[in-house]
Amino acid sequence: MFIKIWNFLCGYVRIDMSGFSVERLINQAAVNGIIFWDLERMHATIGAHVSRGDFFRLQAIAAKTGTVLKVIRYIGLPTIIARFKKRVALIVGGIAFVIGLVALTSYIWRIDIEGYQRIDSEAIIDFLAENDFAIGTFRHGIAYRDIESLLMAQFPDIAWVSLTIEGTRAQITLIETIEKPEIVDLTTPTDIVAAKDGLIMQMATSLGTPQFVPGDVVRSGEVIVSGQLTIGVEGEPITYEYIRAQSEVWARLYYNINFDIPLVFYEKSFTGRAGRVYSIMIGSNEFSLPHFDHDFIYYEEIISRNQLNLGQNYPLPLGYIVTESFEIVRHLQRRTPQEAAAIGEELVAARIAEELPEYAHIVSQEISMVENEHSITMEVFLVTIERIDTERAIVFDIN
Amino acid sequence: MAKINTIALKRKVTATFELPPDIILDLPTMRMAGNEELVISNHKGIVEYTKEKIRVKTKLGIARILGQKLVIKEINRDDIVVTGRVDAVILKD
Repeated sequence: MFIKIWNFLCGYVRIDMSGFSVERLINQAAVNGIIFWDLERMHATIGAHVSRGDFFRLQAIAAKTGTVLKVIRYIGLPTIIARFKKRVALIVGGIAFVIGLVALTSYIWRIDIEGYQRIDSEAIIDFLAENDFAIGTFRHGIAYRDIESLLMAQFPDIAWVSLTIEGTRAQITLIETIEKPEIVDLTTPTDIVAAKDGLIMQMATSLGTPQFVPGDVVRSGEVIVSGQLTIGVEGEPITYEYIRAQSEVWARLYYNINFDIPLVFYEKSFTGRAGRVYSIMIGSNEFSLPHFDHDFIYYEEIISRNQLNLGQNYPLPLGYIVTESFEIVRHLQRRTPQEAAAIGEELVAARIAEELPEYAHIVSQEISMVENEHSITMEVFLVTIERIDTERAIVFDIN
Repeated sequence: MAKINTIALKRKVTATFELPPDIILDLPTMRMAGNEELVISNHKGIVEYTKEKIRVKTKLGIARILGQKLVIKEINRDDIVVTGRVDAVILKD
C-alpha cells in the first residue's frame, strides 16, 4: 500500500523490453538494485514497471546487453504536474479555491447553545458579542477557558459551561444551577390585603389580627388581616408589635364578561396562483435574484432560509432564501346565530382559562345571548371561589 | 574434495545447532499462498520467463515454475514474487 503511494509520488514508467535475452537484462538490473514490478510476458516482449530514477540507469544496462527499451507511458505525480504546468489559470483557480475554502472555514458561522431553561439564550449571545465572540469571529486562537469564566461570572444561574468549536460551529453547553428556594422574609411587617372585591367565604389566619370575618364583603385594597398585634390586658398600658401577617383568604367573586360575535365574516381560500422569489444570503445581507413581482392583493407568504454547510460542522456564511407567495381571495360569509353561539362558547372557555387564576373554582356560569342585526352579544355571568390574599408592607408614620 | 567437506560440515553444524538452513547453506526459500502467489527468496536470477513457465537459477540448480498466466509481480536482488495460477514447482533439473 505505502509502496504504491510512494511509487505514485515519485513517478514510474511502463516499459516494453525486447531483444535477444530480456531475462539477462532483468538479472543484471536486479543485481544493480533496480526494482521491477508487474512484469508480464507478451509474446516477444516483457512489459514491466520501473521507477523514473531506475529507468535512466536501466537504459545504460540495456545498451550493454543489446536489449531494446520502449516507453509505453509515464505514470505518477510528476507526470500529472508536468501536464498541468502549462495550464496556469487552472492552477491559479485551484489555489484560489483552496485559499477561499480555508478562509471561509476559519471563522465561526454558527453558535449553538444547549442546556438553557431559565437563562435567555439571546442574552448569552449578546453578552458574548460584547466580549468579541460572535458570528464571524476568527476561530483560531480563541481563549476557551476565558470565555467560559466570563459566562460563569456574568450568569450566576450557570453551574457549568463548556465551549467547543467544531469546524465553523461553536457549541456552548451549559448546566443551570438548581433554582434557589424562595426565602420567606418574616422580619418585614406586612398586612394581608384583598386583591379583588369579593364575599369572604373562608379565612385561615396563622399570624396577625383579622379585620373581617367570613360573610363580610371586602373591597380590593382593604386590609383583611393586620400585621399589628395589640399586646396587653385591659387596664394596663397597651403596646403594639408588628409582624408579618399570614393568612389564606378564600372569597366568592363575581365576573361579568361581555362580547360581540359578528355574523358576517371573511373566509379566505387559495386561488392556486403562487409566486416564488429566490434570494442569496451572504453574511447578514440578502440579495434577491431577478424575478417578476406578483400582483396579488391578498396573499400569504412562506419564507424558508437555508444556510449552506460543508458537512455537519462547517456552516458557511452563505445561503439562500425561498419566498413563496400564495394568492388568496376573501369571500364575505354569514354565519347562523347557532354557529355564532358555538363560537361564543369556545371563546368563553378560552377567556376563562386565560383570565382566571388556576386555582379558581367555578361555582356557577350563566351565558345569555342577544341577537342583533349584524352580531350576537354574549353575556357571561360567572361565580367563582378563589384566593384573594396578597401581602403589603406596613408603612409606619415616622411621626 | 575440500569444498564437499565444507558443505558437509556446514550441514552438520546446522543440524546440531538447529540453525535455519537457508541462511547457513545459502538455500532458496519458497513460500506459497495457495496456488496464487509464490515468493522465492535467495535466487540467483531468472533464466526464462513466459506466461506458462518461469525458470529461476538457485543454489540447487534451475527451479521450474509451471502454471497459467504467470506474472512476475516484483523482482529485486533478494526476492521474486510470482502471481497467477501456480501448478507446479520443480526443483530437479
